[in-house]
Amino acid sequence: MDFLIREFGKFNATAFSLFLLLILSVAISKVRTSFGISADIEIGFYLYIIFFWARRAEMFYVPIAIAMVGLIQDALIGTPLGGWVLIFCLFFALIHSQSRILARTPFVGVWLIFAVFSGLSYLLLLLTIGWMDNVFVDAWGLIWSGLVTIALFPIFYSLLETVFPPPQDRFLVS
Amino acid sequence: MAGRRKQISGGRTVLNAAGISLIFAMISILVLYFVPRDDPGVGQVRQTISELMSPIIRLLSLPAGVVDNLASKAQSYVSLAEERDALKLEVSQLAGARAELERTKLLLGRYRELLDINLDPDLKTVAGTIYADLRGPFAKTLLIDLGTNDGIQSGQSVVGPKGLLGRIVTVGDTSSRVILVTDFNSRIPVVIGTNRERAIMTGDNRAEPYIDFAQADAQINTDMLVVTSGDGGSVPAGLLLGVIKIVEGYAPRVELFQAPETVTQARVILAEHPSLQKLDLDLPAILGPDRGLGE
Repeated sequence: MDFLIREFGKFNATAFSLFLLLILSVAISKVRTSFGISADIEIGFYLYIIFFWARRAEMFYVPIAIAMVGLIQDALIGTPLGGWVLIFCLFFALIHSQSRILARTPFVGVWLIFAVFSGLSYLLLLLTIGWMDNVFVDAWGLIWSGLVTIALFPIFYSLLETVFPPPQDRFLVS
Repeated sequence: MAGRRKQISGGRTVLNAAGISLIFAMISILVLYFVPRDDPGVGQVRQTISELMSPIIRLLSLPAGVVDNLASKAQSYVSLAEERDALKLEVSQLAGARAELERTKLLLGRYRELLDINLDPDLKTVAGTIYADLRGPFAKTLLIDLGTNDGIQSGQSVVGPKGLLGRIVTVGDTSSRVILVTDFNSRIPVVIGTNRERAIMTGDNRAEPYIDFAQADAQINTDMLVVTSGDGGSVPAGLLLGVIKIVEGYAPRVELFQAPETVTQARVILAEHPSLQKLDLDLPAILGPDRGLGE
């Protein structure tokens, strides 16, 4: 119990901002517009935030927050409950497990790792939904979503790095 | 496994964030496998979450709406002269069509009297705004700002200015989810062309749904009009859907009149369809048992 209280006590302003940003990133892709890109193409803003958070998070509550947002995404889109939770949690676990390697990798490498892992996530999602609904959905929307998300990664990731600079003590530890 | 663990000050070893995340991933697989998708409870959870999220989505929609308005205004100014000419032409064509329509209405009323059926009930509708677009590769749904407070119920039909858009699947107090006719869970009974071939229009998440369960000898050709048949009583008869598009070697598809991306306002048909129930009972007797009106 002490452990839980201590861990949730670490829920600071940065964590709250990232959580809020993650919810907004899910909500913003549902905003209705008649301009810009096709509705079948969805920029995965949430993947940028999960990627960013996974590189830094060592807190107990982060996966819980990410699973919650996955559930919101499932509820909003209408995919089977658990589909996006699975993707978000696996994506987080993969990135978090590589966080030490990522810390020493130049930006192009980080981008490449994001591309591989987000590509795998989209593929897993496609297979999961195909398995659940017994249909093979038109993959083009998803392929384009993945490509656009990967292409825009440097812009949004740099923005996140600027808004949430790494804590100073991290440099001391490494 | 050691990498998934984290040493804490008390000497106990617990899972780190990645490990906890994997546990959630495993739980989600169990949920995916064991929780039925069409369970009413699941639908209610979805609707509750959608209602909770709706203020955020509406707030985020405000700037998008402003940009949309500006863009459409700018576009209107650019094509003002062209639009005026096109409208003039359309008005003169409509004037001719209107006289024909009045005559057809009179005839139709007379036929109804003769057959003692009321195919076209006075449908009560309520208009609402579509504020969230939940279309994506996996599902084609929208959120409309009408709920139980406005008399909305699950299963009611939603129409745009040019025809049927979809049906209500879940209802909250102030918002409802609309499953589009293009969603792969959508099945709409239709009649095609003047031969009145009966079939089911089935969504597969593409922009153009396909025609399924048509009779083997059905004559279905390009540009035939597709309208709802009203079979089953859940969707009123006679709502416009689109025209047939044939590609050799594939099932006929329906080019929809009402593209979902262009609709911002839609109407929900509130009326129960007593006359349609009556239609189910009377029409086999009137038209013969082989018309596929169903059990």
